[in-house]
Amino acid sequence: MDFSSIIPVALVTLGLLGVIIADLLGKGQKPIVPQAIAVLALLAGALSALGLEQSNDTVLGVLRPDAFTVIFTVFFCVVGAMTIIATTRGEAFRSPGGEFLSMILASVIGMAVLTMSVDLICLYLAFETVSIPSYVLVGMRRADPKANESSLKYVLFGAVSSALMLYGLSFIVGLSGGTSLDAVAAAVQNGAGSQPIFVVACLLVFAGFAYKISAVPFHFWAPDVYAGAPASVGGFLAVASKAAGFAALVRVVAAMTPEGVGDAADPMGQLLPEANALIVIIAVSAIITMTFGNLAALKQREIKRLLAWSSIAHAGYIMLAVTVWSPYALQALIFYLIAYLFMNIAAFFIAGIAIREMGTGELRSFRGLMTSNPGLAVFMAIILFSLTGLPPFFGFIAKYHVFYAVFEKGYIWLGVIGLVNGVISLYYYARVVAYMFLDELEEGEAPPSIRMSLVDKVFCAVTVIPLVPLGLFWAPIWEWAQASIPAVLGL
Amino acid sequence: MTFADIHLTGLLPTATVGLTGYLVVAAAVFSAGLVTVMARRNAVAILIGIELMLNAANLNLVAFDRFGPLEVNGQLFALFILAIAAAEAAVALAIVLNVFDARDRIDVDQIDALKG
Repeated sequence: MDFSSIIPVALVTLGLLGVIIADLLGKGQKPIVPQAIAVLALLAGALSALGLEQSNDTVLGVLRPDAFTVIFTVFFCVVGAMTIIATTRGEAFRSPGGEFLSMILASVIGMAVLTMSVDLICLYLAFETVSIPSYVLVGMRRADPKANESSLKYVLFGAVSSALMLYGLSFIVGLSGGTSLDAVAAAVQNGAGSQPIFVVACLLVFAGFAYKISAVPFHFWAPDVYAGAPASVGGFLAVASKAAGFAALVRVVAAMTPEGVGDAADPMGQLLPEANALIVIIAVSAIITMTFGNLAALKQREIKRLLAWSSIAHAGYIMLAVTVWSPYALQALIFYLIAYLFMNIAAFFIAGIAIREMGTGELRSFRGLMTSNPGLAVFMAIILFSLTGLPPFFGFIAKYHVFYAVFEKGYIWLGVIGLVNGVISLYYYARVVAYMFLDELEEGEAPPSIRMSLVDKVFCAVTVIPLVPLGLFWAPIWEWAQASIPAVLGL
Repeated sequence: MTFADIHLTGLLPTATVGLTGYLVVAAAVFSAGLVTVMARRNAVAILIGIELMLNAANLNLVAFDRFGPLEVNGQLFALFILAIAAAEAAVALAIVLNVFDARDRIDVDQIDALKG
């Protein structure tokens, strides 16, 4: 049996062991060595995933190292490495030690395995391997009451939603007569999907995924957790954890819709004809998620909370792509997640350094940033316009593809609701830009002073500058995403 | 079957509880857990409710394994869930303890410095 396909995960696991050993040997010193080991292990994992021999054969019948897996493994490793670097520059603990690093690595391992698992047992194990370290990451600043509170909320919400998911999974396993996703697909083809208990099980399973991707009604934890955790950890949860949830959701939906989802024959008529229970649940949740996320973001006064609600709204847009479920839509989903990586890692990084330097994340404290720190203000404006989905930035192309997929399939209503949401989001993103560029400071009030080291500037440049060229020359990434679609849909 | 027969063979009367029986008990356990989670404000009580919900899933899986074509996968799944539940409870209790140290209370509705 060929085990070469798990080399990326194995490398990160070795890095995890290396971090623990280096941390024990170097007690009392600055944890430079464990940090270097962690970042190198993640980069090695990303590179080895790129060179992986892709195949649709499974390892032990539970892991499938196809092209879809490769994209997401690279994605998680890159986000993990960026999170570690961002944490050393952020507002909370400037020198993350062995505990922090090993939790990031363990979580990345869980995400990579989650993406490639085609068996429900393995999927659940990987799901918890992602979750349990993130509870610890959020509560890492033990003396901080806000961090305590957010980690308590996170762990309780997480445990309840994973228990709901598990109860649903137990019924799906029982109806399918097997734990593999192939068995689920076979059972659905034989008509298991029309049984009422199957619909209930889908609802319960969706609870688990909704928590991971922060979809309504399992989104309550997100604003509090992002506000209480260090900004870099918020970015990690918003990007990597959410992408892992979507990757696993795509695998599960693929198993539950073995014949695909029908076109909307009459666009103005039925909203979702011929769709199965899980797709309908996701569609309804997508509409509520983006609308609620955008409306709640309107009244936020603090940068991390604003980004939290914006990430909930973005989860809604990405769920639209799952709802449509055409090859084009799935390609758009992967493309959107890649755009989302650049935008949100950069946004949370800048939030981190702003809080580090100013001591507060209040949006009003960004007033006059243009006069004191024009470079940072321009970078922040690029990120915010890209998050809104304005041309010519990367975020525009990503949104364009998702909405094109929705309209192409004939779901006019879904598309219109999504576009209206895009307009609403312009208001709160543009308000931050207005604070930075237009607002006059009061008499005697000093503009915010943000001192940035060289590392800060390089990190910002690496994450923000690609948003412009990738908004114009996005074809390579689009084709990279395309390569993984046949594997997922079993074409 | 008379009492004497049972005595002779050393067997209890043949079990007549079918799959449905197990599923009903599991559903009852699950509901009890869910109600605990919803109604109780004490973080430790919520964790107990979560354990009930997990064990309802376990019971389902083991019952499906006994009556269905799962071979041994259902039992395996249940074993993994037991291990994960222990790990999750360990982390959750550590966090609860940490909050308790800071505030001397673990009622979730009094922990509200952050407003969603």
